[in-house]
Amino acid sequence: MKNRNKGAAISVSMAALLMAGAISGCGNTAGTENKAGENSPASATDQNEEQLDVIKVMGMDWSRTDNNGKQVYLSEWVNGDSKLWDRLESDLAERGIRLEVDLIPEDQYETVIQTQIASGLSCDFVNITGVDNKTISNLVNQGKLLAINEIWSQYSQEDTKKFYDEGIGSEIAKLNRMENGNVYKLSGITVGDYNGTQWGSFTGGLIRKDWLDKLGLKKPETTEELFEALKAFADQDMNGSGSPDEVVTVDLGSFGTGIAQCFGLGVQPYFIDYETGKANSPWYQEGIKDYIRYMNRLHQEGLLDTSGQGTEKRAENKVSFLTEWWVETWVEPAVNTPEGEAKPYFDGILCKGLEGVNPLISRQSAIQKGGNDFAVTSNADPEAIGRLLDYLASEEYSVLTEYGIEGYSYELDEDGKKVALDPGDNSEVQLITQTCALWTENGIFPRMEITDRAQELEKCAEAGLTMGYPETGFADKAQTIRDVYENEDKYHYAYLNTEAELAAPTDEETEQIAELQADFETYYQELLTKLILGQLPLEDWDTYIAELKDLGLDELLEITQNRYDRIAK
Amino acid sequence: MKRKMREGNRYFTMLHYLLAAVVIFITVYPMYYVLILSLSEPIHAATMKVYIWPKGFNLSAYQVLVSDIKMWRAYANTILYVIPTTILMIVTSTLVAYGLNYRKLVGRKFLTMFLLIPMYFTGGIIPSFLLIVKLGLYDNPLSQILPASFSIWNIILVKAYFRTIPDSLTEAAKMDGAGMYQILTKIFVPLGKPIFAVLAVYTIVGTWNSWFNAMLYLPHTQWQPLQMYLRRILVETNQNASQVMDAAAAMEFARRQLSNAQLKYAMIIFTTLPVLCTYPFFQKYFVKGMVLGSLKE
Amino acid sequence: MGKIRRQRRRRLPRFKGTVKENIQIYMMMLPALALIAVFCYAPMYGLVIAFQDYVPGNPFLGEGVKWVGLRWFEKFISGHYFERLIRNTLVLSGLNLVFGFTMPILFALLLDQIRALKFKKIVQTASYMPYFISTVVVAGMVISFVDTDGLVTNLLTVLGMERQNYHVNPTAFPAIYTITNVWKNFGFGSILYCSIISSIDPGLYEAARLDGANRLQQVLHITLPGLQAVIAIQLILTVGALLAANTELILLLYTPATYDVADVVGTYTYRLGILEGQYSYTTAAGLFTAVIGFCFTFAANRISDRMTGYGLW
Repeated sequence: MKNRNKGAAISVSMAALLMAGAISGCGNTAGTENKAGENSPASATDQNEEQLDVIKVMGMDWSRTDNNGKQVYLSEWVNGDSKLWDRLESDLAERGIRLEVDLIPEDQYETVIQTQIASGLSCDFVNITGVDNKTISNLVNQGKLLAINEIWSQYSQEDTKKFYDEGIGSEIAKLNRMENGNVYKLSGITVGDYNGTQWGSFTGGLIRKDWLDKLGLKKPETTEELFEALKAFADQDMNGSGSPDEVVTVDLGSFGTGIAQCFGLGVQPYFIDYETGKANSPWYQEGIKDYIRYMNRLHQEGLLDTSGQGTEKRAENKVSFLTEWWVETWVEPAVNTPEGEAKPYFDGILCKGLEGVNPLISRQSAIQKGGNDFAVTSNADPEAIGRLLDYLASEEYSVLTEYGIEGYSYELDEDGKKVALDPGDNSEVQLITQTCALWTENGIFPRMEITDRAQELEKCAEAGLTMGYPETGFADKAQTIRDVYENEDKYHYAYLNTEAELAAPTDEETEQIAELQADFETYYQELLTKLILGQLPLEDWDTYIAELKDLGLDELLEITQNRYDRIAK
Repeated sequence: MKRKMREGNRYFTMLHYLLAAVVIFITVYPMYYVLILSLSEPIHAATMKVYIWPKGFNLSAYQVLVSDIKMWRAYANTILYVIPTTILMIVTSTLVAYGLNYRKLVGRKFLTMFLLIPMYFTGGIIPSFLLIVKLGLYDNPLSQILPASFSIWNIILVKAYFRTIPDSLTEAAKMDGAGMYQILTKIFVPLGKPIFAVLAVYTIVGTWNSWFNAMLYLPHTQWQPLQMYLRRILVETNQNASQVMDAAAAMEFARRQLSNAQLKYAMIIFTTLPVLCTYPFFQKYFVKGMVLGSLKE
Repeated sequence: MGKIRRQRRRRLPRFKGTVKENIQIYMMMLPALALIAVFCYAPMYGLVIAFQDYVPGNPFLGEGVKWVGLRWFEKFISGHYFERLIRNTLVLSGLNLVFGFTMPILFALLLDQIRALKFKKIVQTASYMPYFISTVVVAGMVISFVDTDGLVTNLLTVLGMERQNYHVNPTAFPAIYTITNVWKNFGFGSILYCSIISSIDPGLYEAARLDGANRLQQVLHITLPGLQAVIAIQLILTVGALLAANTELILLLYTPATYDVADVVGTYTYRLGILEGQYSYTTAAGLFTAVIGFCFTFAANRISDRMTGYGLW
């Protein structure tokens, strides 16, 4: 009765793109027949409806903005005629699954999921992004969630098991493993590949390269030079507003400013040192006071935005330095430059702040756990979920999600690489060529992203062609990043998101974190901001550190270390 | 002497008018500011530095809104909620206030406590949610009307107002053989018009601006009111930018911010104008002498 | 009161009437009271989670409940920021009491003085426009107005004050918050007073004018006494809400640099809530402020009753 995959395995030409090692787990997806009836997947689904197992799915009605500025919702795909969604449905139908989708608006999701947990979830597969650890752990203890690792080892195919036990999936599974040894969450996965090496992406400071060029300045290499450049931007009135309002917009209450990393500081108030694997806090690091002094100097000179209105300042063409993904090309179009002039040119920058201290680049892991989590409730039929996992771990799913359908949204070039087709006015193709399908990310299924970093850099460089740099594009911006990919040893790193590198907290740890976190975060953000603004003197440093310790800095560091050690083993 | 007084009066009057003019300026300007932002090119709107005239002229945000079926649906929903809620609100507040105002009421102390406690103590979101689910109101438009059909604050307000109605009127009606019900309809209702008008304005505006119950009890957009639609545009573009976002999310964030820069202001204009227009309709109830006239009827 | 009771005793048939009347009254009140019972009282059992370690999905009573007694209250009161939170809440609400409460009354009196009916209507309609602009947008406007190169800052600089970003200046925050709050709400708040003023018998003014009372005297001796009941009630309720500052607006206006003067109970529990869904702790904090608010209301009610004869009941 159940329509398990019995067809011949199709050979997967995708393999070229995939890295050999870790990914081999999902390399040869057993699977899908290319039936004759595939041209009309909808009708095929209708016929088989009776025999299909229903999986009730609840998730966000995720949306994205297409090239016309129109927000397109997943529900429109589900209810309208989306070829991509039809393909997803027919793929699942081949595995004997029919979805019943309940989509909740994004802004309401957190409320809805929490209230529905309180009244008892009625779905089988659910997006639990943002649900706190304590609640998850409680659901587990009450037997309301199924152990996903048991499902895949019992009901899934060999390739799927391999994917989760040894392949890429295992990297994430081990992060999600809870105290009792089981896995209750599926998370999104991002794997980057730069010409055969796994690479994550970077965030950090970006500077207005076009302004540097205009002034004939070279790219600053020390924070001192950076200071001079920023000052010159303001003094020379680079945006022509008539006043020295060219400013740095970063989050003053956070350590992820890009400038802090120049002084060797970690990105979070408690983090894992990338090289030693030891938990540390910027408050204990050597460069902290110099960082604060430096920021204070920027503030004194009026070079630092304190309004917190970074978005407006950007739009006003007032931002000389900001923190973003280095590969970004989305800030520039939103900047209001005078008619006929080029858009800004932001270029990633890393300066040396202090002799003897290595500046850090904050990087994702090569296999990065995404921010979205999904769980299986006890209502579900584990057998059917097993087949769903087969699909979610398959390359077929990943390709459909990231690239769409061959001949519709992408084609293969002679090297076997996927090249996006011109989407024209087709909104769903626009969306998928931009990033990915709407059902992932915050939607209903975890993302399985495999990014070709080299291609990403090409796209980044190309984006500049239409923004006023018709000759070079954003070539230098791409080069800044390429240099890191190609000279890994030349640079030093910090984890971009410490939390995503840590094992799930135990109940006791959850309790402790909950106890400490709020007051600690209030205190350190306030302290950092006030020090930078000069509202508190640096002289009382020891008092601040004592206060931080009193509020639990050392305990939080210890928890971080323990959680890290659990997966590092 | 007399002349001097009149002159003083004139300065006094001028001062009043001047003050009123200042008030108009500081209260109308922000709305005007929103209006010109909604008409400016999106890229200028994003800077928020548009003070006197629109920069560029672009009606695309309004076009987007007018052509959006979801928006009209949300509009219809809101109107659907405003009317019954307002009527029920006036009825419930009047009945309870009238009862409390009855001097020989048994158990008034108890009732007062009964009313006062919920003003400060609420069971919280989750028990309310469970209740709504149990009553079968979850995902049901009635969940927007029933819990909002009374307000203890309004009851107290109406009661305070009713207290200013002289007892002599009630006594006289009783002499004429009127029962409790007739006294209510013949004396309190006509005399209470100004306070009903206040309740109506408060309830209409309150319902018009409310979104919290919809967020809790209506998980699908089908029955959601206008404010949820507006909030979606406002809040989404205002998410905490400092949280760790992956590159795709950061990109989407930036795109949305630009496309919504103008839209959110247009939306404010679009959602506010109708309810602003209802006010003059009620204003006639706030004119002196109106009450006296109604008694003579 | 005493007079009525005496009357009742004297005429027995009257008493019979009151039973019937009481029944009639209760029948009229019943639907509304039922709504209150269902929607306000039925969920009130949820307050017990203030004494538990509640996690969504748990029962509220019965087996599996982890009772923790007053742990959350102790944690809140002995917390690192307790004093600051209470102080800020009281200061900000106090400012709101002084200005936010009086402005609508003054404005209603001002409006009452305007004789030109059309102009009056325009002023009134204009005055409540800010109420309709979403708080998110209002906060955005305010922040950009007080920025280093904002409209307000420019104005203040002309008046001889130092050019700075007032948004991160802790001494400026209470003023910014209060002005924004008052400005947003005074027009809407004045509707009530306008309506009450309109219901005052014009004959009283006529008589006063004949007695030679000037406008100010008319306001003092006729209008204000006419408003007394409503003012008393509003005041009692405002005092009761002293521990409930406008959380939404503060959340949008504050920064870590101004936590010192801006962090209130509401914003603090909001931050608690988003970090880890601490239902029990936030419920306990809410209950704590509710109890105090309730007591304040009682006290204010008693004082008002003594001084003006007007109370909530």
